[in-house]
Amino acid sequence: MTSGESERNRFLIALAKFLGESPVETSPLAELLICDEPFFEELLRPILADNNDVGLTFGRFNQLMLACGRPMSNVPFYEYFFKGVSTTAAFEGAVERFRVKAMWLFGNFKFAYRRLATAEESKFNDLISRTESRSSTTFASREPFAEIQEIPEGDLGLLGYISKQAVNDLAFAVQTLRMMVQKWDERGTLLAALGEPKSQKIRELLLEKEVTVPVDGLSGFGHSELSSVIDRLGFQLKNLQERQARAEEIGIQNTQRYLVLPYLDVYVATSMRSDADFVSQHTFVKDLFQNAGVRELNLRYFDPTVSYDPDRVKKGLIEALMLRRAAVTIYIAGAEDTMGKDSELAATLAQGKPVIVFVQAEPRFVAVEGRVKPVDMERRAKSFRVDHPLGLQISARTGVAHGIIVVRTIDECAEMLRKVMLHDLGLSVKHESGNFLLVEDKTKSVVRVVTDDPLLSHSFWSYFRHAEPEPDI
Amino acid sequence: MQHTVSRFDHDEAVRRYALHLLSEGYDVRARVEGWFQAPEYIYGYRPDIVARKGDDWLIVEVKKGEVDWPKINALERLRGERDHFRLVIASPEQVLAGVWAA
Repeated sequence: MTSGESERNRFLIALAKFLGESPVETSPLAELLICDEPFFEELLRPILADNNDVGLTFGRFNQLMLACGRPMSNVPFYEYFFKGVSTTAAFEGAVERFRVKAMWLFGNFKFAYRRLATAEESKFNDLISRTESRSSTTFASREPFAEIQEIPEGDLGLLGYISKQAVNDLAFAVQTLRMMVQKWDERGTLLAALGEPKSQKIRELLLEKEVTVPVDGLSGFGHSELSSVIDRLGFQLKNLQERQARAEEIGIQNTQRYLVLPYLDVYVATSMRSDADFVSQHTFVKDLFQNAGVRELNLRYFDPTVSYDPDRVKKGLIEALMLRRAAVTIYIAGAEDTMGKDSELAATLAQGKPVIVFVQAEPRFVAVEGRVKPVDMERRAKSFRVDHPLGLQISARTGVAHGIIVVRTIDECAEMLRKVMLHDLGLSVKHESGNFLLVEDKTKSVVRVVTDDPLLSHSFWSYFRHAEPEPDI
Repeated sequence: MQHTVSRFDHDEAVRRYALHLLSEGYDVRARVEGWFQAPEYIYGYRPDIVARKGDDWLIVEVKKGEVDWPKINALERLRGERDHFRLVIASPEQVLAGVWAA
């Protein structure tokens, strides 16, 4: 193959990719051309006149589009992508740039061309600006995010429904013991009415609190002994309830503050099953948003560990609203999948918004109750990158297939969050197993997918009629 | 904003009333999660306690505040329709002071 032929093939392959077709060697544009091949050669001749040089004027570009059955481009599109292209390499670069933006905005090359190339200047600028880097100054000039009040770290867990139930259980136990003392002569009747399961539950709770329970159960306590137990547990209960009340009060106030925030940038999807979860996830949130690269952006973020509503249904609605308002979700992957958090990940992608999944690098192995072997977080991160069921979801509005960005450290999470907010992700298009993948360069995460299966693609886009493009991040 | 009693006082009063009724020989359903089966809805509202001893049915509602008005209205409606139902509307203060209507 001569150098000229090689250049020509590269140009034709890039042109086919630009138009959303998979080129074949014998005739790279066979599926596209609506003119005779000799005539197409005639059109190509002035464009590829000299070795390595490409003469792609606006007029010649549109001749190619017509010959390939595509609508002609308006000037803004041509100038944005192809003005100044003078070599095959530059043409390939322009095509790659177009394909990244096409996948980002529309998840489809043909439709992206039609929408972008035929748009009037203002519409084109509006669409394309959604993919362009943003200056950090807009964010930096915001007021710092200081509305949300801290809750003492040791009391965060008291906002959890499990802890709340534990306090209520203690209160029930103490109240039962008090009633036994008040109605001392009828305590046997009370315990009988209470029933064995409840009595057993109280005995277990007392044992947890290091109270020695007589061998014959609650009825075996002497009056003064029981009074002393009540005093001790009552004191603990009062202390817990006071701390819980204060934490709830702050949590409710924080919820109200979240509900009226003028804007919200980030939703943090957490799963708090234990007191330790509250602390570790709140610490992660604090560390992330204190990271220098993120801090200067003055982002508004929803931290569920400091928001509270006594009603689970309302809490769910509040979180759904926060998720809807935020531009991006950060998903803290624990050692196991959890329904609530996972649905938040899926809902974010289904809304066409980005998700950053944090899978801790250290410690690598995490013990999980009820499992023999610890969970390997390295393997878990790989699963999120490659084949996790939630790793790819369709935007319900546009049909665009969205993937997730997987990070392993807080610094990496901060870097990706900053890049997402500033539209500064490094992206490139790869082809693998019949799919085009839009890959984030640093984390190798797949953030968009386009299939090159013609029937699937045609059927898919027939049912998912294209509407507006994806949101601007 | 309407006045409401603290969740802690309300919940403590419901717990205490439920245990009191239990000690008085009632079968008790109460909104005390983890300890009693919850009462059924009455005209769309779930009372704090429904207790039964023979033909004697007792509905107890511990007041949270003005927001309870439609619920209390619904419970009064049931009492008006069924002779063997009694209705107690109690404040947390009364209950916590050991003042029982039943």
